[in-house]
Amino acid sequence: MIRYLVFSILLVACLHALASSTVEQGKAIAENRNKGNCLSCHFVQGAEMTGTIAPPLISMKLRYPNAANLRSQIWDATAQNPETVMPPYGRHLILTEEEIDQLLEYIYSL
Amino acid sequence: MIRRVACLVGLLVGLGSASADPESDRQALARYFEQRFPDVEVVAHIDGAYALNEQTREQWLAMEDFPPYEFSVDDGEVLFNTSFEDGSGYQDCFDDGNVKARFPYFDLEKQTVVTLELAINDCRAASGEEPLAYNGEDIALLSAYMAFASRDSLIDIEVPGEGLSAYEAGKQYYYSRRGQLNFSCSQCHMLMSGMKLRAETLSATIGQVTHWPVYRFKWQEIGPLHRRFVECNEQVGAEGLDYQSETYRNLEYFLTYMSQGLPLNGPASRK
Amino acid sequence: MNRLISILFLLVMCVLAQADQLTIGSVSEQIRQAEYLHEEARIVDHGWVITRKLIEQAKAALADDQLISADELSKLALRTAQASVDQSIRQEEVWRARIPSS
Repeated sequence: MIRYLVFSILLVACLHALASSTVEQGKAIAENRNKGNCLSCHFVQGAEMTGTIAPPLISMKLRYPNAANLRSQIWDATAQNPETVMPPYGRHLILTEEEIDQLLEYIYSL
Repeated sequence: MIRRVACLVGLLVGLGSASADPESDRQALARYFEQRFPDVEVVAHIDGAYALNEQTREQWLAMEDFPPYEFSVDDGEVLFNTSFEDGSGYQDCFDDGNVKARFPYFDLEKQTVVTLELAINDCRAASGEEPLAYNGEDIALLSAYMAFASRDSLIDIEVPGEGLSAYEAGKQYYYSRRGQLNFSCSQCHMLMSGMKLRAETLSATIGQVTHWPVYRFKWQEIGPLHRRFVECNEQVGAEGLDYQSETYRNLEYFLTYMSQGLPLNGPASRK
Repeated sequence: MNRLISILFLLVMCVLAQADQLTIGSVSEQIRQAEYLHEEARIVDHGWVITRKLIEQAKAALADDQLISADELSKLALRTAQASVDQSIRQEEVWRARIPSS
């Protein structure tokens, strides 16, 4: 029984670590000037020198209850609004699909 | 009958040019920025981003107390006053150098936009001198001196009927999205003007050409407007073009008309 | 037993044949296509920095006999080159809408 409990705790800890490492990877992409560079335009809590061009990245789960909508916004924001200044990260291959998934995890955690 | 056709053609040409009238473009753009920045006079935009950010403006003004382009102007003056081998010199083409307000212009014979840099090399060619490299130091120094000699003159260029397509090409370039990041010049310098990209305030379209060449601290030297075009292009993931390429000259032509009537204030320093 | 060996042999040959489709010729052709599309974008001032980089990297990989990597890089170059051409076509249609109305 105890063995089972220890195993479960370890498993949960592992899964949690895995998820948070994805969030960490996503954060790095958001901050990297040659990748997402999200902070150039978006305010993010706790970051220094963020831009004032686009809406702040807060309560993202509330604003995008459906993660797929947020993902397609990152992939190609011009699909929703042709005149948006947000770069089409997926359509223009600025980020890989995997990087977009990691970024999504991070932004969804804000 | 012929007269009627001619009249119709004239009317159509008139209508066509009405939609591409540089003066109404300029006025509409001035109104755009007046509405966007009610507290900033149009003429204040000759200081670029420093017209829109009080904090950086003060640092910049302190910097201008010891302008980093001062020696470039002096060196440019020496070059300007050095005679060519045939005994003639730049004065024969540009008098005392106070000519920048009339540049660029559309050359009817060559059917192309002539910038100050192009005219400098034309002047040299007329005396059998080798052309200067457009990305070289000498041309930047010469134009720095001529910009200084032209200070406070008001931009006064013309767009003749035959120059309209060059003007339109520059305008199309400015309003088209470009590069992997998909930005047009207008989106950054109109829609986003005055806003901050990280820590940098974005300047307005109007006034963008009044102060070149510029000593840019990022470059650690004085450089021409077309170098900034390359930089802008590359910042959005677009390939930069050659200095003095037809496209960049057309873009300069359009941008200069958008600053028509504003005082020249080059050279200047920028972060 | 012999039959099993020959089947295995055939299978291996099949896999090798699949891999063989990636030849220096086919990859260079792909690079050439990317260059062609990139040039199409460039002549209308819509070339992208990334496409040029990818083409250079693909060529270097090919010269280094790294076929798989050269193939991947040139495929990416093709996609960015195509996107830059698409951008130039689209902008031709929409740029005027950004001019402030008088």
